[in-house]
Amino acid sequence: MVKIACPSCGASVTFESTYSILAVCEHCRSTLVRHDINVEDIGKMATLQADGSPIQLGTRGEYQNVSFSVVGRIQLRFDRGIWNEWHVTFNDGRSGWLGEAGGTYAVSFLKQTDTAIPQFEKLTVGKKVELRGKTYRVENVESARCIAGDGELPFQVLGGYDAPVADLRGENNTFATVDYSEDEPLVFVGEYVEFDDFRFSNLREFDGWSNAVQAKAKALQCIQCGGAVTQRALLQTSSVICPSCGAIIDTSNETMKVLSTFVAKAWLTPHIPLGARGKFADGEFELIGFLQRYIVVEGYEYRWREYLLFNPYKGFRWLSEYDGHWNYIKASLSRPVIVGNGDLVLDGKVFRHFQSATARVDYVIGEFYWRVQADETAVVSDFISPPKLISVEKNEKDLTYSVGEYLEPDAIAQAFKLTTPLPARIGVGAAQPSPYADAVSKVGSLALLFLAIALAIQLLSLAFSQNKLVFQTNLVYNAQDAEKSRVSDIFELTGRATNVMVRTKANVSNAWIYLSMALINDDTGTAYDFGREIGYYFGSDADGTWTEGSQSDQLFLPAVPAGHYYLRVEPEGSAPATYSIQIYRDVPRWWHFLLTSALLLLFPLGAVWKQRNFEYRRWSESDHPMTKLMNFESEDDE
Amino acid sequence: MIRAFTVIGALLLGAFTYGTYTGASFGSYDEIKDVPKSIRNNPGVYRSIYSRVPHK
Repeated sequence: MVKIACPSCGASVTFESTYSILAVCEHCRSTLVRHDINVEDIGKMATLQADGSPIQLGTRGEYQNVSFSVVGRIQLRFDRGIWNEWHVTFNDGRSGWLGEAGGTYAVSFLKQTDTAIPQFEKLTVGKKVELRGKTYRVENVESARCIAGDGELPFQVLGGYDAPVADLRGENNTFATVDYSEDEPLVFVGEYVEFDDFRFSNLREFDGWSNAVQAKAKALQCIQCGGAVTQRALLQTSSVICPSCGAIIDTSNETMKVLSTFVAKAWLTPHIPLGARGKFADGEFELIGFLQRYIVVEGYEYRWREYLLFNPYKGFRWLSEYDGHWNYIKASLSRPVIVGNGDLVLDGKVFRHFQSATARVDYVIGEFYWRVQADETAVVSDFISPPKLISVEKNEKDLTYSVGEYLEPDAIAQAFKLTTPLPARIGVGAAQPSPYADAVSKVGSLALLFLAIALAIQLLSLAFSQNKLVFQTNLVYNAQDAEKSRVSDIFELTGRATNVMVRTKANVSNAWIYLSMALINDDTGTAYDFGREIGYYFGSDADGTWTEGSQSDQLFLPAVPAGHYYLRVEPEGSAPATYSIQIYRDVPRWWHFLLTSALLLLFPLGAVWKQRNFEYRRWSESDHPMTKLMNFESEDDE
Repeated sequence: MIRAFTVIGALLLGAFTYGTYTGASFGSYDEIKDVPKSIRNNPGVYRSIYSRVPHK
């Protein structure tokens, strides 16, 4: 650290970092350039524009477990407003930059590169660029202007300079900025970082956010109609809409001007009032803007509404609402990877393409972080992996990726403590999680468990059944017999009370025989009475030969107790025949298992059907509707 | 749904186990108590309810 006296006013000026060659005097804004042994006053630094950045000189934080201090900044103006590049010095001696705009934070370092850098004029949004062995895509091309600097800086700024810059986004939060303001483009490489991950201290105070002081919205007067206009977002927005005349006023600098006038076909009332604050998983946010957009698909207009939320430290979030379905959306720090079929992959999760269309702004009120225009357009593509979604928006200058998550309407109502009901849900939301998806896997797992138990029982039954022939006889039926009834010798059935199989065979041809039988327990006098018919017919006709019936038959008697039994048989027939009877004890059977399995599978099949039906309704709103409700194959893989 | 399936699945497994153990069947038969002891000596004394099937 080096302390010097300002040559202009005598105030103490500190050079915290050895990288800093320039410091701006806090008192007189003289720009002091450090030489080997003296300091040169090169003139007055341009005045910084008031902004809503939560960072300030002296803010401390951590990045990759290394502490840093904010020692300087340059302020740049671009099409959408102001962004700051904060000069930071790390405890390990490094010097870097903390970029900050609208609640998006990125750390970067100046890097040398051997790769040929494309000319600024040849850059287009979405273009692929290779830098230092990594692939990036251009997401923003700006002819920005450095307005002013503050604190310590590693280069001279003074009255500002033009800064054509291109922002590139890579995978896994990586990004790069190419600064074309010098003869040789400067390449800064780094990554986007969540606000909370910095563990900031000594941030700027905001009334109503970081302390208990009542926040006061800024009151403006519409420069077109003189009506009252409220600005809530603490200088972090670029445009505000007059609720009286619909003028869209550029508030990105002190010289306000009307960008355009929005003429509404019908006034809409947002379901959440402007100025309301809601608590979400990542913090508290205030509703500052509302717009309605629409797309036209096959001649039909589909409208949805977007609510812009603001937190001075964490930036902006969106709530989108369509047919009563809500998504909570924020800018994605990472660029999703496009896979072969046009789907996206982010953090290892596949997001399937849902819909692409040109969206137009239909209605706006409140304020926005860009210069919103009536009827402005953007190509919007949505990709889903319920309950998450990715929204990609592309216009001439920007390519933005946003990630969202479906929220139940009750969660919205609770977050904002709404007393009026939100619109009822219609159909299935694009990112709405299926209530059946979880049930399918759980019911499926449970069904597999039940089937495994049933199979085990079945195998035990097969292994331990007697399956034993306990009696057999051959008999002759003759209608001329005076007494046709017969009784067998006594035989024994052993074991538990289980089944008995009675198998009969008869050599009938174009004839039938009916056997009235009784299996009689000689010990208890209990009879199991039953009758079986065996009939077998055959012949030929114009269609060829035919047969009907069978020469054998079998019947199972259940739960027959152990004991001594005999069989009484009383035949009746259309012709004399010989027949045989066999009796088996404890015969294992499969139908119990098959019936049980079929019944067990009804539940998972029902769950799958419900899940499929849910998905059918979801995708019917997409570019890839399923053609058949009962078609269990995916129809939307093109 | 999971709870209902757990209960119904358990009941089905119980029914399956019972059916397998007892050899349950849908075969048509009648159980008649205390038939005469004399059947073995005179089979014609027993008249089965299945013996009058109308066959021509």
